[in-house]
Amino acid sequence: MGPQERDSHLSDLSRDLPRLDDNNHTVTSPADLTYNCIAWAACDTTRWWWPDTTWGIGYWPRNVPREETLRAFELAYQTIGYRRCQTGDLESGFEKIAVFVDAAGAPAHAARQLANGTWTSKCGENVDIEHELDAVGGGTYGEVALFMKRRS
Amino acid sequence: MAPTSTASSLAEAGPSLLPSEPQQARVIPILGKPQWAQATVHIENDASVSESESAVLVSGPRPSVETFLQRAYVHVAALLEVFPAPDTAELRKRFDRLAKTWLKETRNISSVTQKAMHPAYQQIIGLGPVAAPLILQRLHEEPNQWFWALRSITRVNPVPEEHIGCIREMADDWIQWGHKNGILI
Repeated sequence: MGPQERDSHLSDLSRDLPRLDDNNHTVTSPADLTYNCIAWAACDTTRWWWPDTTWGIGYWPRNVPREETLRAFELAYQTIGYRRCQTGDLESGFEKIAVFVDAAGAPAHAARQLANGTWTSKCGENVDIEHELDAVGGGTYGEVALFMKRRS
Repeated sequence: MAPTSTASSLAEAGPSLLPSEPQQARVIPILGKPQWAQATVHIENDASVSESESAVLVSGPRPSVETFLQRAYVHVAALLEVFPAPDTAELRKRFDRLAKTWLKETRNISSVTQKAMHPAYQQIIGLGPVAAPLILQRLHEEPNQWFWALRSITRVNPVPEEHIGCIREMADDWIQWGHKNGILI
């Protein structure tokens, strides 16, 4: 990625994610509109996950309430083996995810921990980034409200 | 709205009851809530009808099927007069501007709901059926979250359950629907 492209991408992201800067993240894939952060945290790069209720456009696991609540997101990740845990600290033998909620308490983002302890996020239909957990908070995505883990 | 039974009767009556010549329509302010239909206009035949008479017409007893058809016919004609078909070039320009804003400002958002509630997206939905061909064309060029707008505008759902969440498959389903219905050439 050239300097001009990097600046453009950063300004694009930092509009929604004010804590993001050149030092706390790297872009790891080009933009892709086929999947979003919720799917990426679940290691699914084929579908856009979201429990929208009006028209039911996003994918959502069967038998999980189709509602935009933290509880529904927790249940959705439980279907693929995740269970609630206390922290986002790196634990050997486990992979973790973090669910962010916005100022209104509605889920807005999810990130997945990598083996080296850093986190990976898909930013809407934009790029994937590797980042410090806190770097994507404080803006559109809000703050972490839930950690979950499963055996890796 | 007319009750369903009346709608069925109208369907059975067919177009033979429509006036042979288009009637001149004029919009008459609602003077009271119509009891038989949410009509805002009615026929002005040879004799002119005063607003007080119109109040009697809309608040009076349910009209005959023939009268209802005549009124409905002119109602549509009047709507077309009041809301003329927009200039295509101007419409495209407006759509492109709104789409650009929406894409730029929701690019980092995962929430389908939040994307759809963006003011630019809502304005695109507000363009109504005339926006459907433009949305389908855009979807054909580059799949994106246009599904909420298409569902809202068309009130149909050509996406099978197994494609839910699969953006490219959903886009293909809509594009096929557009071709099949002559909306996307």
